[in-house]
Amino acid sequence: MQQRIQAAVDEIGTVLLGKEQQIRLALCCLIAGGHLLIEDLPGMGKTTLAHALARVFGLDFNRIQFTSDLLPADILGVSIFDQQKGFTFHPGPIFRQMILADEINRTTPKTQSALLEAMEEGQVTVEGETRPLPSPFFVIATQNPVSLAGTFPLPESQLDRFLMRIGIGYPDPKAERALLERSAELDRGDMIKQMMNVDDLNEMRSAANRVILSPLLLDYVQRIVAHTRDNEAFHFGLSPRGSIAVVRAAKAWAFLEGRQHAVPEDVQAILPAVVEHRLRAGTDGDGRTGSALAHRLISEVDVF
Amino acid sequence: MTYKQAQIPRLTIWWMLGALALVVVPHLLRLPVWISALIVACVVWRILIFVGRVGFPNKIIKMLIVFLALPLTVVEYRGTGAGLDAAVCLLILGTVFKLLEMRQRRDMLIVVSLCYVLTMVGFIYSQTILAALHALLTFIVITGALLTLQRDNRRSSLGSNGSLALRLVAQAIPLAIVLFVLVPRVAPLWTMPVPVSSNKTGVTDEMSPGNISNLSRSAELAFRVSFDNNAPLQDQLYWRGLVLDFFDGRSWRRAGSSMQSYEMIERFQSRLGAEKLGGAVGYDIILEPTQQSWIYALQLAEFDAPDILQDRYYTLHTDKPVTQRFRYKMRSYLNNETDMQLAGVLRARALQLPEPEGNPRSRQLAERLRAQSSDDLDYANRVMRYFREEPFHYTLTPPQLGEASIDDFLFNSLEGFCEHYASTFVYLMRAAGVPARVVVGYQGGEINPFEGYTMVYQYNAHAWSEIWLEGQGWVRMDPTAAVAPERISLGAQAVLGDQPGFLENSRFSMLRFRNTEWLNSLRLRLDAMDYAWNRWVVSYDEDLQLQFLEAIFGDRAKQALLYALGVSILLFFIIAAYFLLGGRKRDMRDKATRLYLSLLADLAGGGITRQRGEGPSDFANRVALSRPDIAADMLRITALYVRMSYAQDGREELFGQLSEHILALRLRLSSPWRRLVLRSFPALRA
Repeated sequence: MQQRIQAAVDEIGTVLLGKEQQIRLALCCLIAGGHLLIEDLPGMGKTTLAHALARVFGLDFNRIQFTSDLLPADILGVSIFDQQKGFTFHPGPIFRQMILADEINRTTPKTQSALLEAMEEGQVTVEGETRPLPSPFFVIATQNPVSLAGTFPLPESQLDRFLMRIGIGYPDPKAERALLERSAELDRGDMIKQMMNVDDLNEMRSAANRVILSPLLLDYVQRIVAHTRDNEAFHFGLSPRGSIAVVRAAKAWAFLEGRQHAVPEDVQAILPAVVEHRLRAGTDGDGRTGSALAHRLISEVDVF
Repeated sequence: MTYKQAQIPRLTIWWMLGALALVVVPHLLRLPVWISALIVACVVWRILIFVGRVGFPNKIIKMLIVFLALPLTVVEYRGTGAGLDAAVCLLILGTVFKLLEMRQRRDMLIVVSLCYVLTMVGFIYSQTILAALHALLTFIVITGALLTLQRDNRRSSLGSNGSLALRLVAQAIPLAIVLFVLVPRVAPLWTMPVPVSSNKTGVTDEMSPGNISNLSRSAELAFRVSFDNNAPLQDQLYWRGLVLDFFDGRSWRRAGSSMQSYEMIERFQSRLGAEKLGGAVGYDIILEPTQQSWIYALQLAEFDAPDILQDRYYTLHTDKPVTQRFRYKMRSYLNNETDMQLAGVLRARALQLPEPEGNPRSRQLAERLRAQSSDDLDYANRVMRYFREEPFHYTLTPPQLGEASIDDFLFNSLEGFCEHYASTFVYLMRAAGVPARVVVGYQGGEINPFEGYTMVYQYNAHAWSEIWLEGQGWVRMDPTAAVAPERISLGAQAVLGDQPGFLENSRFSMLRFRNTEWLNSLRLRLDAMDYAWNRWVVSYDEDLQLQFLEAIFGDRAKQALLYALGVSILLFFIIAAYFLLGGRKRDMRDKATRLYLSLLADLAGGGITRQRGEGPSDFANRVALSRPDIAADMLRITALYVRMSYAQDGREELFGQLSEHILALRLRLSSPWRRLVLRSFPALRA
């Protein structure tokens, strides 16, 4: 299984050059059963990553471009009156296994909430009727940094719904060179081969669930959580949902690493992605960013 | 607003009021009525403030209260001498006044401290078990009040607060016991005479008609005795207190000052001595405070205590008044011969009579009886017979006697208590030229069946006489035995129980219910408990401490005492420090982690320090890079460790391997000296 995972990572790596860590985190998020938020500047490959992930797993994929005039019904679907059949429900684009919610912070809070509710509950309620979403249901949302014009930043309460928030970052010079060299073949996303299927994904999820969490590791996680709650520098501590997210992600990461048990290094690997957006959405007045806080956690909390 | 100035939580006020009530109530009964009323008024005022009915007193009212209370107290206690009572009274008033202006935590802390002090002050007045239990309860409540200040009161209920206070006090008890047993007993720097009511003073050094019968109205305890072997019979238990040999026509006193008597004993003992016949009776007395300087013992006592003096009359004295319970050991020779020669001053004293023409009828009687008798002993027996055969009546409530008291008693009233009989008997003896004297003390006692000691009460007070006979020395003669033989053989209770005045001053004494079986048994049990308490706790002094320690440590008890004390205090602080400092960070980690951390400590000593946030694998990889020589060991150890503690593979052999590898690596890393230590002391490895 590990070889197949590595093969999948490599396959995605052919379109997102030099970003293996980000790919693995995204994969980890998928295996942990959480939703992923990719935050970066336009043109960094956010959409490419989402696309590639969907294709590698052969998932039923849909992309929703969020704009400021998008309405909840545009996502969820709407009932339309038909002369022969009466009202029939036309499912919206959300009824897919994988959704790419592009530029989620460009739409109004009302529409954002519709998506986030669907993410949380795995079902949508339209006109009084509850309809389940497909399984697996995985949302990759992308957003531009909060400071850009024309954005409605997601409030902390909604950021919390994303298991991870990752950035892509600029490619290193070598990767960029490779990118430039083959700029002719533009959309390589279509050329990605399917490496796994939904069953594989489900299998990986249950395997990740079986990863052992020793008391020693849970102590470590609790110390981390306690540190965010006791320390003045952290304006608010991690919620229990946050600490559960840490543990879930660490298990998936340990599985990706090919282990049956989680070690502190697993926690540290996923910690920035899991806690950054929960600790601080943007940069606060003191100039402390979520990322800096996450790294402080890693260096300040003793592993033993 | 600092902590000290913060407001007092509401719950605290209730606790505080409860504590104060407990502290003050025993004093209330003792204090003058107006002070008690003032105290109650202040507490009620505080409660009214608390429920919001009235405000805090303003400055003028406070001043007024203080300036009124102060002189009133001084006036109230004027003339009571040492002023201990006045001081206690002022302390209580101060505490209660402070309660009135208690707004902030700071004030509250003062009141709490005062409550602790007042609890201890209570022991000045009473040292019974009940007092100790009361103090214990008070401490718990005061501690509870303190706790409410420190805890989040939304989370603590009455029960949880109380149980925590109870736990705290319970934890302090072992230390208190150790300190009690081991702290060297130093004699007090000064003692305060504590004024006590008159029925506690017991027998006085002046006997006039009525004052011994007064004592029989009291059920107060005089002393308790435990005999080394079997107790002598009731009619042998004559507890001699004082010898009264000067008669002024109405009352009996001691002739000469007692100091003269002390001086005389020195010469006397060396020259004549007293003949001790037969075996000695050993016993141990705990005397209740009498405020007097004489103590009680059976005839011809022998003792080792340096603070007891024996005078010319073989009565015993202490060098200062007995203001606290006093415990002493005695050996008495019930068969003895004392003063085989009687001459000079002593003889004159034993024959002294007031004005020669007083009590003419008695003198005539004495002459008549003496003339009929062959010798002095026969005469004494004749007089005894006279008492027995004439219709004399033994009563607690005799009629008043006229000017010639002896005549009046012998020929008119014929009713009297032991002091009348003793006095008259000695008078008749002296009138016929037989040396005689009055002895006052106690007679009899009640045996506690549970503990086997004897209780002597004030109503056991008695007066009898001793006459001097040629060839026999001083012989005890008890005319009361002739009039009311049951008094001697059965005890005061049996004879006097039905008389109207008996125990009149002790209406609530359990002695009044001795006919109810279970109440009587309860009384005796309680007394036994109190006796044990007095014997082992209250009278635990220097000597007893030394005895106790000698029993444990043998001869070197004194050093042992200091060592034991030092060690226990040290131990206490170590334990306290362990819980205070280390307790919170107690090493709850498993043994594998401890072992692994010991390796990390060694590595840190060697310059390779793990960063706080560095996981074991990351660290192992870094070590492997910087120290290729130990890379393989380090990686293997880390793999083992991770497997054990993160994959929860708890197999014993894994731990064996881990400790083996770690020890091997540590030995490689250590200096030769340390290597030796590690090899020799496995305990130091972790």
